[in-house]
Amino acid sequence: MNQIQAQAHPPAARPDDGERRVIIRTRNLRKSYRMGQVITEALRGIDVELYGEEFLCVMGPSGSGKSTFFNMVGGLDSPTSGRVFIDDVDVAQLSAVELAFLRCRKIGYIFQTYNLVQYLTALENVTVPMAFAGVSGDEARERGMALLDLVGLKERWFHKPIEMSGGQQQRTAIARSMSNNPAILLCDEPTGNLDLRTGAEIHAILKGLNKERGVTIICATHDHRLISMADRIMWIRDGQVERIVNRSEVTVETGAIEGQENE
Amino acid sequence: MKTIEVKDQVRLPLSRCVELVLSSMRYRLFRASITVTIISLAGAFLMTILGEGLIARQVAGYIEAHTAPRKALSFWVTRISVPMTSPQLVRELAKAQAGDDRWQEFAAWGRLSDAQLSQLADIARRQVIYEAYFENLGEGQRRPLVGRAQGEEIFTSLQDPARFVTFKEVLRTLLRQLPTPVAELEAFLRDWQAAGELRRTILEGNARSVEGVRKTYPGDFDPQRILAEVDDNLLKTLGTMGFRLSGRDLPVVRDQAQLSLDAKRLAGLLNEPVSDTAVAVQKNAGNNKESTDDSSAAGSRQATKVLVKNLLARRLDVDIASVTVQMFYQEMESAAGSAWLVEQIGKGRLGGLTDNRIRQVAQYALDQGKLETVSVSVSQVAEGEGFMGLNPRTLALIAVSFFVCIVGIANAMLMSVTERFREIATMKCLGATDGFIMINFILESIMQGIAGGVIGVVLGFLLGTLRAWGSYGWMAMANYPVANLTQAAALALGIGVIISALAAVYPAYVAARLAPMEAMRIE
Repeated sequence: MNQIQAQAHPPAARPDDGERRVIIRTRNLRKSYRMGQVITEALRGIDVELYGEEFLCVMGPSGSGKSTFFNMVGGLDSPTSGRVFIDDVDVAQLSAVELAFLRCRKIGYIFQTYNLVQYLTALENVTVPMAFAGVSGDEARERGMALLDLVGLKERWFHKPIEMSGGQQQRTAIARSMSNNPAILLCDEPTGNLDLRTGAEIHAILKGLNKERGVTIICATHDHRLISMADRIMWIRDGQVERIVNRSEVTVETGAIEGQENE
Repeated sequence: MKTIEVKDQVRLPLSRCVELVLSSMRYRLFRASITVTIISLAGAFLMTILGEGLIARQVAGYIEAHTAPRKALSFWVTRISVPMTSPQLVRELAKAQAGDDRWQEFAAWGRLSDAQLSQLADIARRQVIYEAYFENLGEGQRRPLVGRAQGEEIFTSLQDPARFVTFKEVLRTLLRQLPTPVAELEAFLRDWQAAGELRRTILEGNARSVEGVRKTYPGDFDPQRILAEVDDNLLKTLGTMGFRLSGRDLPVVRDQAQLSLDAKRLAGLLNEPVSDTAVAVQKNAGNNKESTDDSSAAGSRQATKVLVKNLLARRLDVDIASVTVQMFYQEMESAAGSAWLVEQIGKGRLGGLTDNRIRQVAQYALDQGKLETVSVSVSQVAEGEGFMGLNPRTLALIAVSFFVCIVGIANAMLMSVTERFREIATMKCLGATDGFIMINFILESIMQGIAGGVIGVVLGFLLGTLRAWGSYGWMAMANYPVANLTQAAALALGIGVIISALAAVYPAYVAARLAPMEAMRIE
C-alpha cells in the first residue's frame, strides 16, 4: 500500500521510485496534551516518510490528530517524544530562532482562514516573509509582483484584504507562502471557506506549483477534487496513520464519491 | 544526519519595524488612541503641575524683588514712629546676627554687651520655636495645656510651678511631643523669665528713641516725609538715638519714600482746580463742532470750578463719577498723558513734579497696586522645595497617577495582543522571531507614548499657563520661565515614553511567547 505510484506523472518530470528523496520523516511521533487532570494523546506513534515534490492529502475526522500532525511537520510545535526530520534536520533540536528561519524559508503555510495581515496591502502581505529573510525592498517588490502575477492578482497588488474576495485572499496567501521559495507547502483546508468555483482556482494554482516548481504540498482537506489531484492520500485516525494510498487506488472510489458532498 | 544551513533569522531594520507598527496602528486607531489618551492625560497632569509651579516660583521671586524696597520703607516708617512691642522684639532678636544693624540697635537701646545680646538672641530663637508649636496645636489640645493664654502669656503662666506640673501631666495624657525634651522647656522658662529685664531695657530704650525723633520734628509728624528728605544731618541725629539706617538701605528707603509721597501728590492733583485760560484752551480744542452752540453756556462753565478730574473725564470720554485714581495713573504713565497734565496745570503748580517724574511715579503707583493683588496668592504656592519645587505630597500623587497609567496601558495592550493572536501567530509562521514580536509591541507603545506625551505636554502647558494667568495675570507672562518650562516639557515627554515602554513589556512578552500554531486555530 505504501508503494509509490509513478504512472500518474510523466517519468521525466520526477525521479524514479527508488531515487525519490524523503523530505519529511517522522519516527514514532507522539504528542500528548495535558488539560487539567486529563492527558489527551493526540498522536500515538506516527512513522511516515513524505517525499520531495509529492502532493499529499491528509484526511481524518476532527480530533483525529490531523492538526497536531500538521503542527509537528510544519515546525510549529515540538513532539512529546519521537522525532521529526525535515530535510534530515531534527526539528526538535532547533532553537527558537532557527525554527523561525526554517518556517521563513523552508515551509510555506496556507490557512483555511487565509490569515492575511489586515492592515497591509496584498503586495505588502506577500513581501512580509521576504523582509524576515532579509531581502531588500526593491527585490522584494519585484518578486512579490511576480508571485501576485502567478496567482493572477497582479492588478490588485494595492488592495487590502478587506477589499478582496475569499478566493482572492487565498490566492494572495498562496503567493505569500511562496515568497521565499519554500520546499514544502502546508495547506490546512485551503478551500474550506470557499465555494466550488473559487476552490477550483486554488486547486489549479496548487497543482501548478507542485508540477512546475516541484513544491512538496501537504494538504489537509475534505475537498474531493483536491484529493483527486494528489499523488498520495493519508488517513489519520485516533492519532495514528490509518493508511496511506496512492491516488490511482482511490481514483476508482473518487468517481463513486464525486457527486457527494462528503466522504 | 545531515544539517541544512540553518542560520540565525535576519533582524528586521528598525525603519521597517516602524513602518509596520505605523500601518498597524492606523488600522487599529481606537486601541492606539486609548494608550495615547492615557499618556496624554498623565503628561498633561504632570506638565500642569510643573508649569504652574515653575511660573509661580518665578512670579514669587519677581514680587520678592519688587516689594523689597517698599517693605524696607514701611519697616523704617514704623521704626521711627512707633515703639517696638515685645513680640516684635523677640522676632527680630531671633533673626538678628551678631554685628548687623538690628543687633547694634538693640545693643545701643539696652546698653548691652555682645555676650548678653547673644544670650538674648538664643532665648528668642527658642521662644519662636515654642510659640510656633503652641500656635499649631489644635484648640482641643491647646486649651487643656495652656488655657486661653496667647503668645508670651503662655510662658508667663507656666512660671507658676503648680501650673507647670499640671502642664506636664496634661502633656503626658495627650501623648504630645514637645519640640524639645520637657527639661529643656523648663530651662527655657527660667532663662526667659531671667532675661525679661534685659528685654524691657531694650524696649524702653527704643521707646525713648522714638519719642526723641518725634521731638526733633515738632508739629506735623510725617515719618515718610522725614525719610524722603533724610540727609547726613538727620542720619547723625537718628544715630545718636540708636537707629541704624545703614548705607545699603538708605538710598532704597529714601527713593521709596519720595516715590510714595509723589504718588500721593500726583493723586491729589486730580482735585486741583485748573486755571481759566487752560479751560478756555481745552474748551476750544474739545468742542470744535459744538462751539457755535451759544456763548452763554461757555460763560457759565467758566464760572464753575473746573478740576483736573473734569478734564480727564472729558479726555478719556467717560463719566466724571467713574474717574478713578487708577485711570489717572494709567493716563499719566504715557508720555502724551503726562505732557497733557503739565500743559493743563502749568509747571509752576506741579510742586516740582516734572514730565518725566510724573510718568515714573505713575508707573510706580500702578506697579504697587498690581503687586499687592498678587502677592497673597503667590505666597501660598511658592513655598515648594525639593524636586522642581514639588512637595513630597504632590510627588506621591504624581507617582500614583503614573502607576495607574501603567496598569491602564498594560491592560489596553494585553487586550490588543489577545485581539491579534492570529495575526501574531501568522507572523511567527512567516518567520518572525520572538524578539521581533516583542520589539514590535514595545515600539508601538513607545510611539503611542510619544504621541500622547506631545499632546499631553502641549495640553498641560496651556492649562498650566492659563491657571497661572488666572492667578497672577500679566506677571505670569512677564516672568515666563522659558528654560525651566522647556526642561519640564522634556521631562514630562520622557516620562510619558518611559511609562508606555514599561507598560508594554508584559503584553509584548505574552505576544512573543505565543505559539505559532495558534494561527491554525479556527474560532
